[in-house]
Amino acid sequence: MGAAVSVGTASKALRLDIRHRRVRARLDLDLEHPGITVLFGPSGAGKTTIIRCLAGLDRISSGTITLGPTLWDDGGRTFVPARRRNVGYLFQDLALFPHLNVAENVGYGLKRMPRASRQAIIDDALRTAEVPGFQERIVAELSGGEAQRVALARAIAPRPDVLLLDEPLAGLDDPTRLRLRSELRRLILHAGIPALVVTHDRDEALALADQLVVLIDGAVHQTGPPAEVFDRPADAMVARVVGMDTISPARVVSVDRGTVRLRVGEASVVADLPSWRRHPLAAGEAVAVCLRGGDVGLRADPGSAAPPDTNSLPAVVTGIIEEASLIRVQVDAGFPLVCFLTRRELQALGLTGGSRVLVLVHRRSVHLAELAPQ
Amino acid sequence: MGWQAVDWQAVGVSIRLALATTAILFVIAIPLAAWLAFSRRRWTVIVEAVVALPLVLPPTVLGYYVLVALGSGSPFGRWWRDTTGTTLAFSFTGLLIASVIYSLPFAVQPLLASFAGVDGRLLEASAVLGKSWGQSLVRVVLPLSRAGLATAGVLTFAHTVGEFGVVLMVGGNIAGETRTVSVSVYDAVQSFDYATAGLTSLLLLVFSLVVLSATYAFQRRGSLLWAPR
Repeated sequence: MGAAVSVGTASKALRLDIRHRRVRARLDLDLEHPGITVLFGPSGAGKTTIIRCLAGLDRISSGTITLGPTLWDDGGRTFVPARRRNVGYLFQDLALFPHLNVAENVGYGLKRMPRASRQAIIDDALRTAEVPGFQERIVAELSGGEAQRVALARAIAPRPDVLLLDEPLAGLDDPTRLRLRSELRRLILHAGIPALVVTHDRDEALALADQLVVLIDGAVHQTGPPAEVFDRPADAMVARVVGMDTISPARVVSVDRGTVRLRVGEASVVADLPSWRRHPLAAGEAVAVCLRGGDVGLRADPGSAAPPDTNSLPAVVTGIIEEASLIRVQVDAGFPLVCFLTRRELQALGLTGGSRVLVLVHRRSVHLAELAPQ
Repeated sequence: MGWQAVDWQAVGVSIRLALATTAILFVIAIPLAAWLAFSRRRWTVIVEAVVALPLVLPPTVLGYYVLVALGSGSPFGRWWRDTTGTTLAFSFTGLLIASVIYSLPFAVQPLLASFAGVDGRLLEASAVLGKSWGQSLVRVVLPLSRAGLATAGVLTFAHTVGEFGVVLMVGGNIAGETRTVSVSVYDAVQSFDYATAGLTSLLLLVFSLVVLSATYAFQRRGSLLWAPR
């Protein structure tokens, strides 16, 4: 548990290695290069605890937090208070000052300086956050999306060394969140400040991250580019949080020339031998088989021939569940398995509970993860 | 017999005393209430209890302790006498010190309630944006506690005008120095001058009613002023 996360080996690195409440985590952030690291995990994983400790809003129980050569917190005597850390923080509920207008909010964190330079920095921050001309607006009259941008402008105006964003889109209504999700990454990169974003939302994590850190139960389970983490979760717990629809324990039967034969429940499944694994697989080893619902095909005729390199497993439909856009079909193929169909596909197949089907899964789509975190 | 019979000198002493008490209490009560509202230390409850003591102690008891503490028998009283050449007991200054102690809860409690109502996130935001404790207090907490500030000021002023027991114990009854309007009512009754006592009492009654109405109006408006989004 608590694997090291190295996002670079720059001299100006923000390093955290803490034991605080349930969190036992190590995290290194390279602050030399702007980019977005997403701290991703289910609610209660300790994500907010970590960024609050980084910001100096909470003191750690033990461990260390350092910026380059400077010790920020050692769980004991040394504690650099939040006001001396030069971090930008975007609160989940924004925490804009209700008694100040937009310009006063954005200028709040600026040091003493001539009026004109102050004005220029405020205007610039508002332009970066794409709410120019909002200077005189009253905070209470801003829409959710506007308030979000103003809060971002306030966080970037003092040019912090790092931006910390706590569930930045969680407080917004659906249409605004969808719109801002695609824009937030551009806004942060445009500001040119390295950022650490906390989220429990998969789509948000995928849309924002250059680097993804998966935190579960207070421990870092995996780190890497988002596509890699989502396609190749390291263990069954990561597979669950990145939304693998089928995760089933399996045992390696044999390994030969680029493929692995596995026993999954009652079924026999063949997978491509993963080249990226840290150690080779051996017969008898326990692993987790992970499948995305979208990679699983269904045929109504159990006798039909399968395409090459594809597992074909006879199965029985056990459940058909209507979801927002697709239909989730649960089948028993010797082990429980989920696939997704469109409404038209379901009609064409004429499936009902108890229907006999053939499940088709390409060998390449069978991902093997560790059963337990390494 | 009419309004000229009212002891206007005593009214003047009361107003001077109330203004000075209110001014001094703002300086003391704001940091004290802020500390009580935001400190996580456990012994804040003890300080809070000490601050609230004047609410439950009989004014004579409080007056007695203050009198002893200010008298030439106490180290503080002796230091004061040696430094200034005057005594505190039965003087306006002594009365002022007693008033400040006596009215402390009336300043601290509304401020405490008001400060505690300020969203803690705003203080965290202020800290992350580089502001010290004092700066956050002045720039965030106080502007968002205007109703509490007004209530504290009005209640302190009114309570000081109305105090009697402590005044008599510590200040005595010296015209132009320590005789306040409440003491003058007592004097009038003692000399069977019910007409003057009645007029003076009416004056205090109307004043108190106006003050309390103003306070409640502030509080009601205050709750709407910065309604949370």
